[in-house]
Amino acid sequence: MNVIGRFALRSMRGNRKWTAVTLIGIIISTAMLSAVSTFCASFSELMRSEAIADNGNWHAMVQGVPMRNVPVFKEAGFAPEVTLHRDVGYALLADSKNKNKPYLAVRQFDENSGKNFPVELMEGRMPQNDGELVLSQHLEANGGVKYEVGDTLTLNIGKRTYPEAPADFTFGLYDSYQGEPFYEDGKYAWGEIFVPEQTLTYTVVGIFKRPGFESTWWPGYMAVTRLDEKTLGPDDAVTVTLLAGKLRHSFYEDVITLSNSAGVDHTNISYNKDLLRYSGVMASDSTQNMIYGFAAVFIVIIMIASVSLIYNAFAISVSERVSQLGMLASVGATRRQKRWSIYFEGFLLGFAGIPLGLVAGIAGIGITLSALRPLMESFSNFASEEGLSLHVSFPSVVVAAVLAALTIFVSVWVPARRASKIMPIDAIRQSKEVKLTRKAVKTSRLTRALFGFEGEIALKNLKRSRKKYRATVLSLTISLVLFLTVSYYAQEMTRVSSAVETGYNFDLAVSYTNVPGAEAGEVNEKIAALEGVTELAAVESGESLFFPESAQLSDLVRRLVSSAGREGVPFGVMLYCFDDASFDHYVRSLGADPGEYRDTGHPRMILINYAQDFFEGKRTAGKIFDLKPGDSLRFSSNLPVEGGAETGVELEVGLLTNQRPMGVVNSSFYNVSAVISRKVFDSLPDGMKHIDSDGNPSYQQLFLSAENADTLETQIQEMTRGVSGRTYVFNVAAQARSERNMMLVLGIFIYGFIVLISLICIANIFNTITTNIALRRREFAMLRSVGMTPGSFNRMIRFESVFYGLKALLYGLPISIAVSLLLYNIGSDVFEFDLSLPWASYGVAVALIFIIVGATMLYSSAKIKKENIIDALKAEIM
Amino acid sequence: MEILRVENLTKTYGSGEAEVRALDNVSFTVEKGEFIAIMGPSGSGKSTLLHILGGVDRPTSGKVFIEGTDIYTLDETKLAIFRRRQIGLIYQFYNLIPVLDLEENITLPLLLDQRRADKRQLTELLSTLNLTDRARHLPNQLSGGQQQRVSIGRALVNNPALMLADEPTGNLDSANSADILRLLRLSNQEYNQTLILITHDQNIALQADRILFIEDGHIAKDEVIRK
Repeated sequence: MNVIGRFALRSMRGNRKWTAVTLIGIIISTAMLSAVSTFCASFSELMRSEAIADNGNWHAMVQGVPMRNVPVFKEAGFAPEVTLHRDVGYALLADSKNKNKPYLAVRQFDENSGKNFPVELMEGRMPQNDGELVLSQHLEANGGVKYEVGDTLTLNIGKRTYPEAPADFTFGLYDSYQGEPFYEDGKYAWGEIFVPEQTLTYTVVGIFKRPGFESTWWPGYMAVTRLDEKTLGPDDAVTVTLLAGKLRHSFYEDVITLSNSAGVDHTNISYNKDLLRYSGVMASDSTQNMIYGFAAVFIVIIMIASVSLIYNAFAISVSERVSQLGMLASVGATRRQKRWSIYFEGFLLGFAGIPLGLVAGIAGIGITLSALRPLMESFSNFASEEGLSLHVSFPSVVVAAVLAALTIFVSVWVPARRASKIMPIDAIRQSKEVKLTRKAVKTSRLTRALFGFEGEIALKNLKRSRKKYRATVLSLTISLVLFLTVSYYAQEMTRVSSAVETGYNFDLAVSYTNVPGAEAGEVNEKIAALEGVTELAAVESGESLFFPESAQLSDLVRRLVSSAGREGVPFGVMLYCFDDASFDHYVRSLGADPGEYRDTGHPRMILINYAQDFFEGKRTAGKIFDLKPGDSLRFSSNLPVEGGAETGVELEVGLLTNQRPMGVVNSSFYNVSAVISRKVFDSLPDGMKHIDSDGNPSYQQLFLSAENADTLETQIQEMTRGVSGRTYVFNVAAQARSERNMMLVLGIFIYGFIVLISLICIANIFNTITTNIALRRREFAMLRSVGMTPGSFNRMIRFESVFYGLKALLYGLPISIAVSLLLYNIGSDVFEFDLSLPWASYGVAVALIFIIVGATMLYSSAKIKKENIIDALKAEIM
Repeated sequence: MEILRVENLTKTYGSGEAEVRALDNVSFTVEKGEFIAIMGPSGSGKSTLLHILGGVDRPTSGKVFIEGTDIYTLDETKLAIFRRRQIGLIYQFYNLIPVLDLEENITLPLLLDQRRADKRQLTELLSTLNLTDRARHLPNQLSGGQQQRVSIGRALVNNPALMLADEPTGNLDSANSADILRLLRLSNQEYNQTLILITHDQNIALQADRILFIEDGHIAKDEVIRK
């Protein structure tokens, strides 16, 4: 190593604290970069494995290749895996329950296909010859046709075509079932027919799970048998699938050329587009773009924070070594050598820090992903088994390393240039304060009056090294803005999702569609007897329309109506009828007498006068109506334009409330929700009730509060299995849980990011302040030698911290608020002003700023305070 | 009147084999208004002695009484206050505060004491130091000689019991040296300041009332030149 290199190495060794903190900064920023890039790689890998799980692990598929030309593909080289399959044909199922899937589609796979087309066996084994067959479990589950392993099937296999079709026409697997043939004016118009061609006998040897590539619109269920090349003639057509070893951008052309030479034109080629896309051959799709977009934003933020740290560290290092660099210059070091000494420092730090950072980042994201997997499973529905798991790719590591190196280079560039300009005279003068003028360090009289002499010195100290002061304030400001902006974002996301959640004031909902009232009532009674049910309400509802007069609406709704141009458009009305016990309970809880609501000669309702909704992305909540008890509203069951007499009912407002009974979800602003008694409900015209053609209520619901919603959910599902109509059990808790999990996962990522970014900023602040204090060692010793007491000294240090903090807040708070406001306003007109800032985070940020600065100042001054005055005074004048 | 008494002052650095005795059982007394020069080869312990007298370094053993106060029994805060009121220190490298102007640097001990300088006294001091027209300059706008005059002003401003100067002219040319020495003698004679000064310069030493020769941490010779 030459002398310049040794010089750089030794000055780093001599300044261990600086070296350590800068190294830590580089490690953290590289770790974050590699965490982001590894996350992207893992996500792409997830998309890739999803694509494989859905469509199979192949890149291109060429249909209709005659057996004799198959070697063309096998010898091509660029696709080491060439597999064959062949659709034998369709067999009509005798009694498929699914009208759109009347067939069994028999397909032969060769021995390699198994791994490229993921066929997951549930029982039995894979076929070993063309007389054995495995069946899709979907056949039983969806089609209701059951075969056991060991059964023998004799199938009339043929093709799907249509009457009067050309002889060689067939519908393919991707053509959904066309239905029975349909003739119009004596001519064939639509539909398909089945033409048997051969009879084959198979033994069922296994059942497999419905594969991802068996689309729902296929006309049949998949049956897989073995393709035996020896049994095929040279003219028999097969489908060739190719899995390229290394995907080149010429892949498409290669496949087309190959197919042409095999005598097949390009229309027979299909590609596994998803897989190609996530392997990087095809352009990205929107999901991928979104992930990359987020990654880009994060990378930019990380790089800004890192450059501010590393730049600062090097700027300090250079200014600290002015005399040494000047000395080097005086003995003949060239500009290039001086510059190189700084670059070399950067190189050494990068050399040590980048690999450590890469490992730390990959380990960090790996641990995070595996720790979060149980949480993620509840809200993500991945077809592939691994889910989102760590995947390290070579490009992702290289990208992170290059970005980290770039960050260091950008940061070192300016300090290195400055170092190259240091002249011998700078060393001789031994003073960096050459430009210090009286004006620069001027402070107002008020400072001394307010903070005393110590405060004044503190402020002058800050003003003297403006660059360092500015650098410190800048890094504090950046941390503050990042922290607050991300907090705001996190808050907004929580707010949006919690707004969705709060609509539910029950744990479980059982809904009955087209079930006779009595039958539903019986089931409800059984459910009520279940253990763990704390409250329940059976609800039937009716719908009608309401034409409001402007005066009846609240100011808010009037504005909404006019801005949306909805004048004259009727409001929807939901009339809720509860079982008597629940109704009485609800009415009493509002302090009214339930009896008053049972008079059908004078029908009354409880009007829920509260709505919440999103307008242009903003949550808006408030009253709907400006009404008082005693007002009457006319609800109609038909629109006037429909002709005929208007039918409807006039209901008197008994009460206006914003309390919803269990089971009534939040209304939007153009709707009326009202609760009425059973008696009043029964007296409503039929057109307002939900009644099906059999005279049964078309829709009834039972709402439950329960302690053990998950157990109850399964129990209720058992109970409702035999009910005549359709039933559905909705578990709010499970839904809420998966939403909470999603928020938690997002939160962990976001706050993890904030913490790491803050660490970089803290390292920056720490570096700046400690060197700043160290540089003033002699000065502090001097102050003490002329009699500054430890108390005054502490006061001075405290003032410096406060001034740093105040300055950072002065810039940081308005910028943060402005950024939040900008985010809030993006893409929407302000209608209902509802910006709320995360005040708790603001409090935390303000406290943290002072704590970080104060702790750093205390830490760095503690040593100086204890130091022998004389040692400090004797120290080399830097 | 005895203003300073030093009893059995010992200062060692390191321990065991590596122990260095900078001062070894030094005792002497100084009367008010005396001008003492300390001479001796480099590393003999002159500076250590001066710093211990000034309350900026601590002895390993022994006592220092200034105006009857045993200064090393004071706690850190009281010692600091004692320093700013009773001791004026002048260093070879001025040690001024770069952000404070000349007047503030001079009045620093008063400012630290939350006191204001007496206007008349300050004007007189500035004119004595020949710095009247420079009162608002920052240290980096002054020459070496001017900076050293500021540090003398700072040492004088509080009328301390003891003025201590560590090679105050070591960094200056002969004209500036003469000027500084004139000022120090002036303060000694006009204001009856007690002055202890370290020097390598025989001519400067000969202007003192008494010369202490220090060798290997001992007082090798205590020579009274004039009474």
